[in-house]
Amino acid sequence: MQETDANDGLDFDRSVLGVEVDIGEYRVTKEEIIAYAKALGETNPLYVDEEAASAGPYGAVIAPAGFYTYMKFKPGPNLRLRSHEGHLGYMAGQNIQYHEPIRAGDTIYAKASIDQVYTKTGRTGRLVFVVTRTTYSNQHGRTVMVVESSNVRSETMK
Amino acid sequence: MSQVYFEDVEVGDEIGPLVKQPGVEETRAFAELSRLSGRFVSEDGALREGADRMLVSSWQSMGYLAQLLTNWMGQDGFLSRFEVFFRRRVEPEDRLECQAIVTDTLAEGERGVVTLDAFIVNQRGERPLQATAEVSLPRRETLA
Repeated sequence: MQETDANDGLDFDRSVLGVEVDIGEYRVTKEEIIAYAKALGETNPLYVDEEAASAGPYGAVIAPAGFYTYMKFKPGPNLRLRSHEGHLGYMAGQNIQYHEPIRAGDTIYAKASIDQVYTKTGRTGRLVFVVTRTTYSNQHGRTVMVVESSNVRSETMK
Repeated sequence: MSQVYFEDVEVGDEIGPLVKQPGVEETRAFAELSRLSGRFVSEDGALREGADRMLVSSWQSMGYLAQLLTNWMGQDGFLSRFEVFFRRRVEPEDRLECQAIVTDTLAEGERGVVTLDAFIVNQRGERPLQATAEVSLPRRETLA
């Protein structure tokens, strides 16, 4: 697969690249954490058992590693990437740095930026990758996690 | 849930498998809980989006792989890094074996960091998810 640069015929708003945008806050409840954990078949008492979790190292129910995908925030920066219109996108990868757990009762604040846009040409045509970085902090001002997410769309599939 | 200590871990140790086989209803339930729609909820939704069939979301399959690691590390372990690559799609009823292998260990003060390769193998022998992870574990010798 050949990688080309971000300016290779892509039509998007370059002014948003690297600009971090506040995408709001999310209040995390114990009930949501437990429901999310159970939907994955989790049995870890830190995630699903309030009494056991309260006696555990964090003193409360904490969120499983993927819970950040459950929390909903405002839309992030808009690239206005015209080549994406009408094409089905999918997740290529996630790189997550965890600093501390998300606890039940936390308020999580998120900021997002689009750090990179690039293309690769494969057997099925050109793929457009968009790399978004989201930083999540809690009500104490501490970063809980940073997620780099790479999404891809094929220009040859609907 | 038992606790793993850094001293108990060696390069080459294998973890798992944790076997998951999410059916249509389980896939739909997770998707709806996660406010996903379309191809993650039904075959009709998939067709409307231009996909050829219903899929298990990346968030769900990634959650399974993380579960393998967090179950293994115990309550005093901490997953500090998790980098996942989605190589192939996962469909409802796929049999997913979540596995990991220790590739490195490093003592760091009162704790130790274990690096792992983690992956999911499906019933066709494919690896739809491939990941690397770092887990921080307590050390026995610093507990005394």
